[in-house]
Amino acid sequence: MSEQDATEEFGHVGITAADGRWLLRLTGEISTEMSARLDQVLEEVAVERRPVDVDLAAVTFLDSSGIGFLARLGIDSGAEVRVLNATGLTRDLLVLSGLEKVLTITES
Amino acid sequence: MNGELGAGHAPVSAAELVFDSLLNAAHLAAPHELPALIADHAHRLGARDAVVYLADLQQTVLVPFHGSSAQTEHQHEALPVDSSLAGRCYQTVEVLLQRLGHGAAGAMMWIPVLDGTERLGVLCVTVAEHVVTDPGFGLLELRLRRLAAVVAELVMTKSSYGDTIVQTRRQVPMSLAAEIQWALLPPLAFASPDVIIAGALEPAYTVAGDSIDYAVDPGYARLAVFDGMGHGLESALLASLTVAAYRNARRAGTPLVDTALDIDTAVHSLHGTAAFTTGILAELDTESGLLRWLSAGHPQPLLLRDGADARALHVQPSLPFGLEAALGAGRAFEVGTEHLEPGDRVVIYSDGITEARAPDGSQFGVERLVGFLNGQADDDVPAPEAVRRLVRALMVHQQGHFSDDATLLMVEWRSGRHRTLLPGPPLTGGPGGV
Repeated sequence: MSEQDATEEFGHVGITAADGRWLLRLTGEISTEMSARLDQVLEEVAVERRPVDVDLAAVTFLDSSGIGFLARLGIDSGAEVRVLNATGLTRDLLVLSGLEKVLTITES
Repeated sequence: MNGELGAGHAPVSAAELVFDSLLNAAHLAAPHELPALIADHAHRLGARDAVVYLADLQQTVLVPFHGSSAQTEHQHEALPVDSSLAGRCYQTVEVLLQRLGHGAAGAMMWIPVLDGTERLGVLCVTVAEHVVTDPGFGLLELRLRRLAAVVAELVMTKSSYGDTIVQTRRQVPMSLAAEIQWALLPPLAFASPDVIIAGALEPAYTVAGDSIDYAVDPGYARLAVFDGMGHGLESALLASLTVAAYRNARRAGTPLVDTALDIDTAVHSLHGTAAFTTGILAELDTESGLLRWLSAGHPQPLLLRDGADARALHVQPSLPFGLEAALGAGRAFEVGTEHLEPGDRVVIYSDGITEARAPDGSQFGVERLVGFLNGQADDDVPAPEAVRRLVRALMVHQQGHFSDDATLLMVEWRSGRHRTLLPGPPLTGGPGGV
């Protein structure tokens, strides 16, 4: 899957399920080059409705595709979505983007 | 010389007939025929070698508008706005006289060409030495200023009939996305005694996704900044849809929040949750100074007061346009309010301004943005020129490369600076002066 390899250079999303929750770990640059992967993740978590934790600790860059991803996660999930480790400018960006309407944003 | 209007009418002066002739001829002229027409009529007024220089889209150079190729026997060079006399005329909006020195060389006059207060460029003419020293020079200057005013009207009205004016204002090829974007834009400067509005959009030739719009109507100035997600053609189309939805609602007299809902619905109907536009909508009561605004996932506007204080205008942000519509009953746009004081400036911008990166990774940031604009205000630089210089500063910060669209719209309420956007009194005190 060369396309998959190409996207991995920019960023990565890991999915695990534990304690009845989805845990999504985002790393690196979450930008438009990752759109296909982000769509895929939304499909995967939609298979089973559970609360979602999104860990941004290892994110170095987040653009409008990342905002769109988080927004859709919050809008579509039908369950609680928490964003973990959103700090500094990233946190400000999420708040300005109105994401508090659909997600819980925490710094830890 | 008298006209043929018959007894009982005031005599028509020769100069008046020259203007008549120009206006009549202009009815039957294509845009590329304007330069010859203007030069010919300037000559009949007593000035030679008239050349209209038009500012390029980025307002970095003044480009001679040659029109038809027959006109181009002596080609003129484009003149830099930041380091030429023409540029000084453009920056300060003042009529400048450049004595050509010894002999009977005469003088060059540089006259701003303004559409309202939007600077289209400058008109350059040459007058003979004896004319400059003649007591009648004041009258000639007045007529040449009037000619520049007619030039501005002609440039504006003829632009839509051909491509030569548009081509003159472009320095490099334009991307398809930017072509879409520029077709949407209002003039980037407006002033009245109540409001001064100045905007900028970069990178001019490849912009895709950012847009600005405004309308000044009885009692209100309405402003908007948008940022369509992503890059390229899709973003430009998204911005185009957003601006059209905004205007459509605004022109139907729709109130602020309902306008936001209409935009949200329009974007959502075409893209679902797959694409969105962030934006600020603002409405300024030009009588009372009451500002109302809302945010669809966009950076907060800034309020600059007294050249020192600057703060973000905070309102509970909604999701971007296109996404709120997915919330059902939770869909809402909160409105912020602020009473402006005379002289206040409100800056609405896109993230491309503050996130503009230097090669070392440092961002331009809000502090630098505020510091720069306050510095310009301290130096009494009018808003449109301050915004132009801001774009230059952003360009320098990024060493010439915009990695993202950067848009800014500044509105100034009752600052009393509107007069500085027009040329001052004639150099020679007008007719009868000297």
